[in-house]
Amino acid sequence: MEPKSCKTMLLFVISSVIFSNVYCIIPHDFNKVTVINTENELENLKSSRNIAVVYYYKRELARIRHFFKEYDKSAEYLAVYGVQAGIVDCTETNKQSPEKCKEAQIQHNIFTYKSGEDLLILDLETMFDVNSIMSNVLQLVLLQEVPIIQNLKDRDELIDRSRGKKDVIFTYQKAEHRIFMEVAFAYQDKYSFAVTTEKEAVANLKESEDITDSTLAVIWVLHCKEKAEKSTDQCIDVKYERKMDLPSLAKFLRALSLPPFIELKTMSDGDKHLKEKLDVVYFLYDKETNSDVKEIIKKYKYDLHGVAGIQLVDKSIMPPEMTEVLTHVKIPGIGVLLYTKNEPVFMSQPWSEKNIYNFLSETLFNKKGEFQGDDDEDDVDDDEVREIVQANNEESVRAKYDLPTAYEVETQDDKVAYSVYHTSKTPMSLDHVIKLKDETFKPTVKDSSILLILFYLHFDAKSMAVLRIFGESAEMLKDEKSQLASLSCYDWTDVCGKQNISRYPTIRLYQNGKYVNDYRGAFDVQAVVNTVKLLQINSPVKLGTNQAVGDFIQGKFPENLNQITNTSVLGVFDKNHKDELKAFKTVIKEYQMSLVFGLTDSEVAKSIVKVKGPAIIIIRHNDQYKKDDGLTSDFTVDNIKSFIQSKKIPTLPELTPMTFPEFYQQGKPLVILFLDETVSIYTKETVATLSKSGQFSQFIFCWMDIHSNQGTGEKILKEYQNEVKVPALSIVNNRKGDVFNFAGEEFTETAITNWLNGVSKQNLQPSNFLKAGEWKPPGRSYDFLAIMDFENEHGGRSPNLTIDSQEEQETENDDKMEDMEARAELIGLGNSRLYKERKTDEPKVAHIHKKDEL
Amino acid sequence: MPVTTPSARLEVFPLLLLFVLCIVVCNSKTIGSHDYCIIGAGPGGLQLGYYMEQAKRDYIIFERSNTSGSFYEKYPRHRKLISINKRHTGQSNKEFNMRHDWNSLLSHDESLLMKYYSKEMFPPADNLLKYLNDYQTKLGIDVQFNTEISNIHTVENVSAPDGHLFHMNDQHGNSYICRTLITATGMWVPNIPDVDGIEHTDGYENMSLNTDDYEGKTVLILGRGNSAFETADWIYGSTNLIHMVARSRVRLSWATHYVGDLRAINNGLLDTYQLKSLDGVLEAAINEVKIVKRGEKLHLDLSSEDAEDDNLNEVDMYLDNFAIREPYDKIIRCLGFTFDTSIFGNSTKMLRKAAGLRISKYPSIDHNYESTSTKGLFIAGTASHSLDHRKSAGGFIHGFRYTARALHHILEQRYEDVVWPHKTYDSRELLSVVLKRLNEASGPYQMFSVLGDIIVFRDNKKTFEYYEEFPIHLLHDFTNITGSEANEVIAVVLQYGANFSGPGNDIFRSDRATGDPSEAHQSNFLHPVLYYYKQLPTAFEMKTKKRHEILPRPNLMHHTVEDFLTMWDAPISHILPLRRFIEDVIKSDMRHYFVEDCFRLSMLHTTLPDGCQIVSNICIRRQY
Repeated sequence: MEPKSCKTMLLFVISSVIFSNVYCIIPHDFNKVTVINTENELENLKSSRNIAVVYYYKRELARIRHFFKEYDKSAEYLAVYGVQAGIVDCTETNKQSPEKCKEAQIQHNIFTYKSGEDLLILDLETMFDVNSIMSNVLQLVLLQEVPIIQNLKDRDELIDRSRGKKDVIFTYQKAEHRIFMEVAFAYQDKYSFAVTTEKEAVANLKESEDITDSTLAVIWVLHCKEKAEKSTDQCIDVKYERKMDLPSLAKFLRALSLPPFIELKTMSDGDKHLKEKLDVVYFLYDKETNSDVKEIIKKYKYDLHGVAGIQLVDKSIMPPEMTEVLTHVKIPGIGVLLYTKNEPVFMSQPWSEKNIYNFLSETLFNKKGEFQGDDDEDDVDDDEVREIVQANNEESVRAKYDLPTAYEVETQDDKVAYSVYHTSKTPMSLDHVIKLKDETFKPTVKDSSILLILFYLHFDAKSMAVLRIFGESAEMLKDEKSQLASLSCYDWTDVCGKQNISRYPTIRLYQNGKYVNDYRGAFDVQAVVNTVKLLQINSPVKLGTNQAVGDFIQGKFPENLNQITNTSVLGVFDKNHKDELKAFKTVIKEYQMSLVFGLTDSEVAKSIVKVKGPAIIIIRHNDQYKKDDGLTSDFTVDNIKSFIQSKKIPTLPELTPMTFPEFYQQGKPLVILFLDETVSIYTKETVATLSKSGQFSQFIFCWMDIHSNQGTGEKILKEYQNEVKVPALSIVNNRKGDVFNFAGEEFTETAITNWLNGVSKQNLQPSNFLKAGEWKPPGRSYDFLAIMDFENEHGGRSPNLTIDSQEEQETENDDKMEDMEARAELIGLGNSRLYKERKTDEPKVAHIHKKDEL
Repeated sequence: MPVTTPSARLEVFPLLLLFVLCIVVCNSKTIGSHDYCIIGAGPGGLQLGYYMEQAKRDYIIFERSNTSGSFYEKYPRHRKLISINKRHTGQSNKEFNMRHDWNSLLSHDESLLMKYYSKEMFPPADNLLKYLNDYQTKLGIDVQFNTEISNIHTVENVSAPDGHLFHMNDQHGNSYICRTLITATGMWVPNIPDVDGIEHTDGYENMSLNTDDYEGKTVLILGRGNSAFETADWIYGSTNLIHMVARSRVRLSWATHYVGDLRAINNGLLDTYQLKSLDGVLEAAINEVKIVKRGEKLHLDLSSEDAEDDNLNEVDMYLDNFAIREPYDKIIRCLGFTFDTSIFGNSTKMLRKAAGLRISKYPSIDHNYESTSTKGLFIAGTASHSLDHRKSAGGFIHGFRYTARALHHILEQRYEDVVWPHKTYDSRELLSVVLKRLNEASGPYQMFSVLGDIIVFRDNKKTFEYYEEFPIHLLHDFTNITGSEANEVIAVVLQYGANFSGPGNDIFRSDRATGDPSEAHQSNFLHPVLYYYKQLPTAFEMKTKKRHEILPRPNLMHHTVEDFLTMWDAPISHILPLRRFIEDVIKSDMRHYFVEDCFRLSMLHTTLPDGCQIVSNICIRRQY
């Protein structure tokens, strides 16, 4: 027996231990983190008067080595804030390990202490790099100075406290917010800082409705200092529009402490802003236009405060040589001088609110499009920086290889994948979805009159999103015999192979044991439910009586139809219309998942509809302007299809994300009426009349409420017409990219008709163009060839592409240098003041702790 | 035997064969003629035969014994296979499960899996025999038993695709003519080195299995492979002691990743050696000794010329601690097998020996499995292992079942004008398709660094074709081998890190595994590597690639970081970096989009990212 058990042991070693943990020491040499072996050492650290951060190391975890590197690096920065970092050796080799080591699961957390008391327990998963560690710990250090706002009530209280005293710097943060905490540390006596992670708490703030799951951070300044204490005045809020990096944010806050604008007495006063490395916005005026400028300043003194220095220049103080140079500049005029440039740029367009807005957007805020992803407005900037770095540091190998950082590569920028990953812990309700496997696939298909099978792949985020949706649809349909099934193409790769699945996910319809076609509707819970219900109706419904036809047309039959579809199609065919009927039935197969079909003969139908047959009548139950359309000749499959395709769209439907695809498929330009639903009723009627008239069938008419869909309508309108004023009419040709805006003041039928004719006949120039371009990769990949070349050139395993080591190595990088300088300055600023405060404010410890308990 | 040839290219061929046939028939003997003749109904021959049968080719397998897999009637001598028969993996994926089934052949018949033939992790050899015979009969593979082929030679024939036909005889004097010949005879001739006194030794092939014969005996085993250790394991309870001697140090397969090296299942003797239980292993070159019988005892003496001269005593003194100075009762040879060349006629040029010390026992073939000296002569099965000896699994059932399939595809293109099977996909599916293969494909997993999947881009990279399990050393010749034009490709290969393997390396060293995606190229364990070429590499580039490189330098390269579970499905560590690589290759945004975002984007742009264009109306509703 002996040798055999030995063999089994060895086998076990081979099969499973290869990657498990056979060594028992902490796999990292710490420089800045204190390694703790005994109870005493731990107690000493815990009882420190400053905050102590402790990790208990039991055994190797995924990515723990990376964490250690980052942790060690952070310890150096944390020391600046008086925070001590430690790691407790809880491995089995350490016989004196503290009691705490015996607790289960402690290796998944970071523990924090102060004066011997427990503070927060932080999740290890949230501490993946220096930035996240810093932000979490700094949050703790500044728990009182930077409160966490949970809801609107908290925010109002904060504002009440700040009114008349300090401006409020308020931020919404998705994840780590190191830079915010760092500036807060430095400027805590100048401003009130507050953090929230709740969308609720930022309601009504500028562009807060734009916050999505992928928004990382937004910062607002609430100008409360100027308001009277104890008043209830709204503080004016301005969104921070600059880069989210330390130098930019620090500069912004520094500049925010300067006066919002200065009126120049002499031209030389203007150097002040440039010395601060601020961009300058000039407003030029003379006697007559003084008031115009003052008026516009009311708005921009907030919007530009901190971003740029505003200088009001009376033309009369300008020396003559300057006036000569600036002859082309209109008065009142506006100009921008970027501190990196020598010459100011002046607006050439006429003085108007809109033009000023556009001018500043372009020159100062450098607004760009959405290509290469939503967040990449700075992309070109980055390139420039990179070029500059390369030019300045030709000897810099890193720059030469231009290696990406782990952050650049490993930050999820796919919203679907992100959502799926973050909801993966919430179990899906799949109880009512039949889970198919190889043996059950064929019998289930055979035994079902209707079966929708979702073929999916669990690595594919879209598949998993759809699977969840499918489960919820099945939940809604649970009272009926299950008609939704799923099959994992990974688990049953053989079945998917035989079914020739080449796209993930695929939803296939099987009827009576046969594959019919693929589901092409939206991946949406209700859409799937409706599809099943429509299939259950089993189109075409035979309508044998007068009553039945009547009810069908009115949408009363089949029952509850209005909850499933808005469109019914009635076929009126007699026995001798064999070919027509055949074509009709072919079309039914194709549309049965989205429309309901009825069938009757002319005898039954004659008293209700005024056609003899053959005929196809389409009824749009939700169309308040025109309910139906008919087809009375040319009953080929193609013709019936195109009839249904175009006539299923109502006279004036709402444009929403869900209706849009149907319109887009038609390939026609959209005439969009932007409105505020409560106030634009008349215009809507006018546009509907035009659509109904049928003279503009080359267009699809639709309307959009600017408040719907989190303000998407407003955003689109602003893009088309550069201002948001309703009602407004635009024609957009999505494929070509032309946008025509209706310029008339009065939305009369005649005016709109003329405009539509003008556009149709190409007499009008497009008012605007949609952006065109290619959708390039949104991020950078690890260029392993470059990494390996780098390693070959430098020997060994050197290029740590993680964020921390970059900070070490990238002294050559101007950007990082700037970062470090800004950081040093801030820390200096914060410490000098805090030192004083600490001396006098000893009981703060207890305070923090109490707060924590609450 | 009907003479048919489905190929249009070979219209004249049947007529010609008939003509030849007539002459020979007239000469008296019976005769068979086929497009394909496979010699040997072992696992290699049967696997290829299966694909021939499926493709309905005119083929025959000649088998000299009366059963399939007759090698296993005798071997392994101690009747326990060392290929794993893992019946449960926790996965239902049939393709994936073949990663852990090392005995079964490939087929569509799910009952033909070794797990239904034995419950043992290391099954008895008799069960494999039963399996192979079922495989042959159930799948209707044409085997002509009791046919011992010899005198294989080529006869020039201008209309034959390779310029000649293969003629051969069986033991009854019957003649056969074959257009294409596949030798799948395995490696079965015992390797007996030319050493003085070797006749005093027993061989693995004929040693007694009765342990009583080894009671109280002192035994020396020559060889250090699995059969040597298997033998030691069998007898070491009876012996005084066992010494083992071989040319090189012990190579443990779990240190080298080469299953032909010593498997843990056989290494009981290493244990007792390390524990000083008299048994021992040592390194020496066998051809430097001679075996001398003095009385009943066998002595090992140095066989150098020096031994003859007068300084003998000096040498003896110098080597008085010579490890194997004590005599033995028995010496057993366990030195492996070589390829049988005797079936070939006079022209020994038909198959040369492979160049290289360790692989000279194998016939010399190219990466298309064709003899380097005779066109139309191919090798299937374990004898094709010269291509990946000590690198991959081509010498074992779990490896050559895939190379046999690859060979079949090669033959189909070359002789039948059938394009290598492949599927076409929309490029939007590239990430999913690659991920699925990475996580289930068994061929590239078993035949790592040898067979890889090739992605061929078409239609300005809007679509791609997926070719599975292509011999990557033929990448430069892809168009010719597959019959499908290719320029811009990605090769998906599984490989071990360059630093990993090696008999002396400590594979449990603490930095053995990396989990950091940015250090994926440092991965030591088996991990996927993607090579992107704007143009197929040239033959010259293939030939001049660096030694540690598996393929020449590509235009872009991606390593997916090794994974403990060999599951590459982690959203951030595996999928995201892979997506970014694919995006760089395709030069476009491959993200998924919610319908709301698609809507906004299409209202503001004339173009849309690919993720918004799937059938134009299928987008996911955001509901999170």
